[in-house]
Amino acid sequence: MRYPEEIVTPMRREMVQMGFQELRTPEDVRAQVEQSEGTVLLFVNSVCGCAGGIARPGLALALSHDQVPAKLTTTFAGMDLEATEYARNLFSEYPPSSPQVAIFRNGKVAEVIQRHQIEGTTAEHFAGLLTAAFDRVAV
Amino acid sequence: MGKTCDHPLHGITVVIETSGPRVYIGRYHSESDAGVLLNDVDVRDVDGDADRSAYLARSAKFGVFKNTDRIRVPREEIATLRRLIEYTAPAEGGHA
Repeated sequence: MRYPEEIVTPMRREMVQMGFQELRTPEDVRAQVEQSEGTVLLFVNSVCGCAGGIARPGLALALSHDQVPAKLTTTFAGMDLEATEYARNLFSEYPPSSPQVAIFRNGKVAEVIQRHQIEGTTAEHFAGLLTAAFDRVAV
Repeated sequence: MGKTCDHPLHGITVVIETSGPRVYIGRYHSESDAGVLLNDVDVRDVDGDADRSAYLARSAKFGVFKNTDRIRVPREEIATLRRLIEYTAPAEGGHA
């Protein structure tokens, strides 16, 4: 079941304004993540409170770090159903979680941050997790 | 009686350990005299302390593979209740 599009439009726009490319189909994920050279961040966006209160603001903070993945992409859980399922299958040893972040290097997952590492924390804490992951992936 | 979205653990992924082999990992919803209500839960019977430690560390790193949508854990079964994130190994990061 999908959420009404008008509810999620502002949440999508927030990501696009940060420079994220929306991936709405499995073909988008294949082209922009799986077949991509270099580093790609995939954010699985969500309507939940920890996405709005912690994850999206934390991503905005982290993007001012000196090491940032070359490509920023996003799918929306509960909306872009096929794209999100396809993306999650690229790191299927991790259970589905919304929100979640995966960072890929040359099409292979290198880092994953799950909802339980985000919920109940702060945007600043999450930004710290992200920037540490950015640094590890860049090495 | 505690129905509440204001509870500090509401929506947070927690671990409930019992005095026996059973462990519950799920999202805390609320609690009452009858126990703690969890959503999206992995209910697991572990095989000794080593298996328990390995299971909790693995769950803290990877997340929760739920096998139960919703369960109320009776208060008398609960030995400890902690956030899952507390089981994360220090300085952990990267893909396993």
